[in-house]
Amino acid sequence: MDLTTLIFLIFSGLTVGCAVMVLVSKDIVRSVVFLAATFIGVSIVYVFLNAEYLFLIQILVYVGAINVLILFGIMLTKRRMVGEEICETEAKGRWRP
Amino acid sequence: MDTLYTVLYDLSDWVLGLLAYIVDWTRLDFLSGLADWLVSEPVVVVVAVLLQALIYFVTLLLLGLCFIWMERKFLGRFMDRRGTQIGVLGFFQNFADGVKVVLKEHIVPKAADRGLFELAAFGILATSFMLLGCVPLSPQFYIIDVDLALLLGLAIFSFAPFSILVGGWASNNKYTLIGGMRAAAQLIALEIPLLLVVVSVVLMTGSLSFVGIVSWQQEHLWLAFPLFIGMLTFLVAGIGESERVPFDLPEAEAELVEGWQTEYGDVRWGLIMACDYLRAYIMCGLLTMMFLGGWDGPEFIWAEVWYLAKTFIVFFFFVWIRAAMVRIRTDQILMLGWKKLLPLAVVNLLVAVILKTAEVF
Repeated sequence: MDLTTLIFLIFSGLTVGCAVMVLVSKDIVRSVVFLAATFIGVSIVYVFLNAEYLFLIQILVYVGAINVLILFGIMLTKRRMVGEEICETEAKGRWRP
Repeated sequence: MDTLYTVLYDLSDWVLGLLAYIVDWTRLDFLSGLADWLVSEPVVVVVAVLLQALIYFVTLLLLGLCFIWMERKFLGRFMDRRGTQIGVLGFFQNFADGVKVVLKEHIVPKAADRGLFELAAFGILATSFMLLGCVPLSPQFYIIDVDLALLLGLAIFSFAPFSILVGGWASNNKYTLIGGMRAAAQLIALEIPLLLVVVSVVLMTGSLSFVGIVSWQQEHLWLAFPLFIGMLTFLVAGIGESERVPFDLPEAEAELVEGWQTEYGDVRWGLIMACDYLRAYIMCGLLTMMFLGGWDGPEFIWAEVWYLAKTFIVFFFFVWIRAAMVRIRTDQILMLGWKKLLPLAVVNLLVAVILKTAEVF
């Protein structure tokens, strides 16, 4: 097995592992981080296909835009902070993070 | 022409050859294969690449220190005080601050998400230093010069909002969260006009590599003249992208302590702070390269000196704006990004298209 195949297998294994971790992870922000890792892994597969332009566009669009959009979506909705209750606006009107 | 890499390749070839000769001379049995291994091609290449990275890294860190010194000193003068005082013209103050930051204790907040907390700091540092490798100082002094260098730089730059949001969230603190949200919203709002201006430059020069863009400008004229609107748009958006006053609301000290970096205490914070300046340097460098002709200039001094001189002049404008302006509000920044800069960038793109179709260049 030559070096290129070995590196390709390592990266594709990492990609699949991260994709599984997106589903397994309990914490939704961690899921998004794993999703970003999955996108980067897919873009590295494009490098092995000699498609550098597609590799850069994949990073620019998916990691730079789509992931941030998902993170914004999570942070603007009701969520559970690390080890805390669901964030809610209290009756007094004080915003509790 | 001798590039940095070829010079370092020759150097490492010579040094490793010398080492191999010494190893041979000792005539120890267990070192028998070592001499051949030392002078083999892959080892020499790896050593040359490592040396190149080290030289570039040290150069740029020193440059970052110069930027910090320049900002402190000039800001002091703008405010009618003396600025930093330690050492020659106050230059050694930054080294003292650096040592202080390195000696501090590493504290992770108890309620923080530890893995993501460290990962976010790593992400912002790694992408900033990767970004530095994409920007050449001259046709000889560079790390990589690929055909898609500009796009590569922008792709790496787009990691920043993600790391900042994750870092702000993982610190588990309301100031960091609000700072992170503000930073990401601002970076995204200003990234689109920035990219449109870059598109106009690429359209004019027909190249995505920095060397190609600069050599086009050496052949014709500096793009600052035909694309003046684009340069101003890029300047404003660049100040916003590097989160400097008047667009520093992600770390508005009076309201948010230190923004998304609040919980980072030790050398991580020091490096993140240095990265802020390095990102400002990247913005100045991109502006110089795309509009002010990069290393174009009379050849009685080195190309690097021309490039750095222009970059420092652009950074002087950054400092000047910082001294003159007050911070703007979140709604104003989004208004500016989407309603003012985006139409200006489109007008600039139109100018570029007209100039190209009329075959002026």
